[in-house]
Amino acid sequence: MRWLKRIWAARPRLGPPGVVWANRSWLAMGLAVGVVLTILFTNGVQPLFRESTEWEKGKLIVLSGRDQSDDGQRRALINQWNAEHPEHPAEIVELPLEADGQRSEMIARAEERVPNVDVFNLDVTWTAEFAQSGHLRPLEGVDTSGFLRRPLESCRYQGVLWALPFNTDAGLLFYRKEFVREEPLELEEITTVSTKTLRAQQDARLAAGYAGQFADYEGLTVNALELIWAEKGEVVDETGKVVIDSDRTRRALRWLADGLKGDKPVVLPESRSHTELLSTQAFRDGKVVFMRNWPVNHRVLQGNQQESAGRPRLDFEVAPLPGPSALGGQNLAISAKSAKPRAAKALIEFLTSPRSQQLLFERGGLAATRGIVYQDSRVATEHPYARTLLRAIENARLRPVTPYYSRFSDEFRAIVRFAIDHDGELPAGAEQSLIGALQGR
Amino acid sequence: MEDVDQRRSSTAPRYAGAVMLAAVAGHLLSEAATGSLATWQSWVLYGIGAFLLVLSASAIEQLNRLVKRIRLRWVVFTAVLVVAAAVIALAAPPVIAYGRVLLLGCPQPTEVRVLTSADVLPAIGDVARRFEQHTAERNHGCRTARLYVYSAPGNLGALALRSSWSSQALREVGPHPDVWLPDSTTETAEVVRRTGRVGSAVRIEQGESVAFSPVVLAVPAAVGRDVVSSTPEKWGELLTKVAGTGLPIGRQNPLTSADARLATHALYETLEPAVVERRVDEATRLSPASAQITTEQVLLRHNKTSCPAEPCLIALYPSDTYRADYPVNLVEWDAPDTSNHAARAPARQFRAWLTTAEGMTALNTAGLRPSRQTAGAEFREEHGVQAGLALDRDEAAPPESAWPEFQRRYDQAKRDGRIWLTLDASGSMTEQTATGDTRFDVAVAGVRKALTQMGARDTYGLSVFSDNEVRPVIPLGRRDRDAAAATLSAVRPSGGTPLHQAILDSVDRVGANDAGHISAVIALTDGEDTTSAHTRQDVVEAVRRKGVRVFVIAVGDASCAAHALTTITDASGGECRDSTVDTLGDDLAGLFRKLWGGAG
Repeated sequence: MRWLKRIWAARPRLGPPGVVWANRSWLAMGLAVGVVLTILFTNGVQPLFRESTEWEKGKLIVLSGRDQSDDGQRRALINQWNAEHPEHPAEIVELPLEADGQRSEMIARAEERVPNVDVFNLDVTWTAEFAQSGHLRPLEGVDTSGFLRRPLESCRYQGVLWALPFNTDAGLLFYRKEFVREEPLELEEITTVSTKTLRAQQDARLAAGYAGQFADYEGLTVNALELIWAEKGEVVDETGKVVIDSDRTRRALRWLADGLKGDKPVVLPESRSHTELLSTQAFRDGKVVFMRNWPVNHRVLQGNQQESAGRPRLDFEVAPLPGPSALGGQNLAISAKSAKPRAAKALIEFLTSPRSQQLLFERGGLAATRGIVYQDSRVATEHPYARTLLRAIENARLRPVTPYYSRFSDEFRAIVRFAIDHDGELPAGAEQSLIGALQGR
Repeated sequence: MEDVDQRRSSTAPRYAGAVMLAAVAGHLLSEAATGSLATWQSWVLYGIGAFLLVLSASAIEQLNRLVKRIRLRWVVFTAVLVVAAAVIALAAPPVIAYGRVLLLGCPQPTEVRVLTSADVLPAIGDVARRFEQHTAERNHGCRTARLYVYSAPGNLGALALRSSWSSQALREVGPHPDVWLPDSTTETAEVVRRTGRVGSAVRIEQGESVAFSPVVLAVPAAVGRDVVSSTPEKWGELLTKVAGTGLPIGRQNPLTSADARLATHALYETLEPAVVERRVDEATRLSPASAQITTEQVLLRHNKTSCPAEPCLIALYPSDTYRADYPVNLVEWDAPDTSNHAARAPARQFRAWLTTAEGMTALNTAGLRPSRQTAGAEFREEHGVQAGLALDRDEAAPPESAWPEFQRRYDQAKRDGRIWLTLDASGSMTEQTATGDTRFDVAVAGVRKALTQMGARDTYGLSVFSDNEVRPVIPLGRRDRDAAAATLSAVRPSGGTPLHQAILDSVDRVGANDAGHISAVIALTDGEDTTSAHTRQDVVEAVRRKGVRVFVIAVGDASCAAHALTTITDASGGECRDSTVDTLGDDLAGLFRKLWGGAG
């Protein structure tokens, strides 16, 4: 207790207790000065720096991957903006198709000292990295009502809103109608239906039950996460802790590893080298009963389902995946260095407005980020899978939110590849490597 | 005693304490005003902070008292200050850096963009990953650089650098490179000269070659065992021998690919150019049933990764062969919006690392032969290659002055490109795109652009297909560029899509390859076949029989994958491209450039 007394004795002396006012006047004066300075600052100085609300004039540069919508609907929207706002024209600088290449160029440009970009069109998994590196300006004073919950969540990092969702995506389960009576709810049901169909030998073209994207690229991360989630396993929990080492995770990986084996396998062995396009081709060729893919392939398949060129007609249906899907899509964010943040914000709000979202979905096929679009009857006739997709998006999950996402994805894929080759077992130190990756190591 | 002390030193700490309290009060008010003290936790934190501030005032007072007891206190004070400053200066940066890593994770690595060729991309990718790990070794496990390695088809990378990386290059090739690692030093010289001029936005600092890989003839293992001999043989002798077995011999376009150019140059020394050009076909991929002119590292990787057992292919090393020699050039951009200054230091570091023992081992493991290290364990017969080389030439490539003459001889000897283009004129082509033009308009504009790629002796013919007819509109053999656009402007698209019929008709019209011509068919369609009497299988068999390469460009509702258009193009040795209305012109032009052999 003596140290306590000593600290107390050593407290700053604001004057001996006897002489009350004279020596405590320092305290009073200090308080008074503080109060006056604060009032001066909040009322006199701050307003000088308060931003004006007028949009800055000049060209807005949007950095984005290639327009993948049908017939260039994104371009059409930008043209419309330019016609309505000739003093704030927007220009899209198109980057290569490959997402990694887009990211690389965006990061390099963001590092420049001069302002060279106003709006980034970011993949959902990049928000954390760009925000943490200080490349983005927080979005303030925007109305976020009406956006779907999940896509909007992907725009936030550490409680701050950095972007607005431009378009969204969720994986769907495509299946052949003639073989499947009810939508499968679990991986086990996919296995049962597949083996039954393969054994019955109804269709000589059938080579396996299920096709996914298991080539070594981001598609493998997405597909493996979804399988693990379908078995109610986890890789990284909500608090950011790595929990990959569990029975449920192992079960999902074993399902995949075992599925790929055998004479009539559950999982199509070629899908280890498949990307989205090749899966679609395998499904159209009648090689599988089920396929996991993005909804954009629904249009492709629907356009070609008629019997032709020696291939019988394809009757298919879509359902949500057995577990949650990994959320896809892109978000629009303002560059921290932009000299035109107010005009850029207006452009982002225009591109994510209900009308723009309706056009992008209805004519361009890019899934809307606003719930109301899915209620539209024209959208429903144009894209019959819209309701199912909405369900999948609402139920979708974000891939781990970390500024080091690409490191995480690299390490995770190495683990999954090992598991596929070793009956679903995890490599030694899997957990450690993921913990390191989440810290950028 | 204590009381006396206190009275004497009482004003200073009181003064300090008051000012601090004033600061705390002011700050408190402003924080409360802006609303950042919203939760109870923030109030607790604020309280602790203020307490520490006040406590530090007493610490100063204590110290003050202590100091007064020391003799020569100014000397001691200065000495302590100097020592403390030195300790802080030395220890603070690493301590802060480590603390930062522990608390916040690694700082983001610097982005470095590495452009290389498609052939060496996988190997350089492996080496880049090793370098990233190397940067982490002395940095608390944090990588300081991230290398994005990508490739450009053919010589498009060099062309894009010469044009200071236009917006089209950005869209089609990739991001602006910071490091350029081409196949051969001969590729760099001209680009360096062109970009060195005043006013160019790009500056290329030419670098040394870090590794090499000899140009070899890859042959299937069975054939290889028959033709291999113990005495050294030249390119000409090997080619003649392998061609004698009836095996087709593939080569990339010598104008766009370094290995093909180096091998062809050596071949022209011993064989007549025309003979060489008749014996080789254009092919880009290794295949189990043909020979291919390629680099050793491509073959080694193929055997290691896509070959179930034994070496699928083995390398024949002509004694007079040249080498791909991989120089590491640094690229610096002067435009203020794309300079990427931050990447320059790690790019230099990467180049320097490649010449260290660790770097050379990484190159070796990736299948490249470092300039100053002997070939590693990867180079063994199970992988179809040899560790020891006996090559005649010291230089990696012929001198630059030899290339204009080589190009002249190649242009004379090469077979002329003969292309039949068939365009979809079905009803769906009238659909409007975002710009207001119809798909057909976009296609016609693309054809006009593509025809600018025509070489001096190349020719073309053109047909359109709709309903159930295929209508030839320009006969084969035309060289007139404007004829196509003029004729097509009169076409009114309508009806169905007889794609199969159109391909079969085109294959017949263009005819098979002969001594003087290389033939190809390009079909542009926006939908699946709807009205042909022929099935896809008929088309596949026909193109296989005729040996004419078929290329398909799919736009709009058409899709290479879903329509299995690739089965037709694969059977013929061609390819199918999914295109959009935005990229149609570029895709078409790229295809014509490839087929007519133009080097841009």
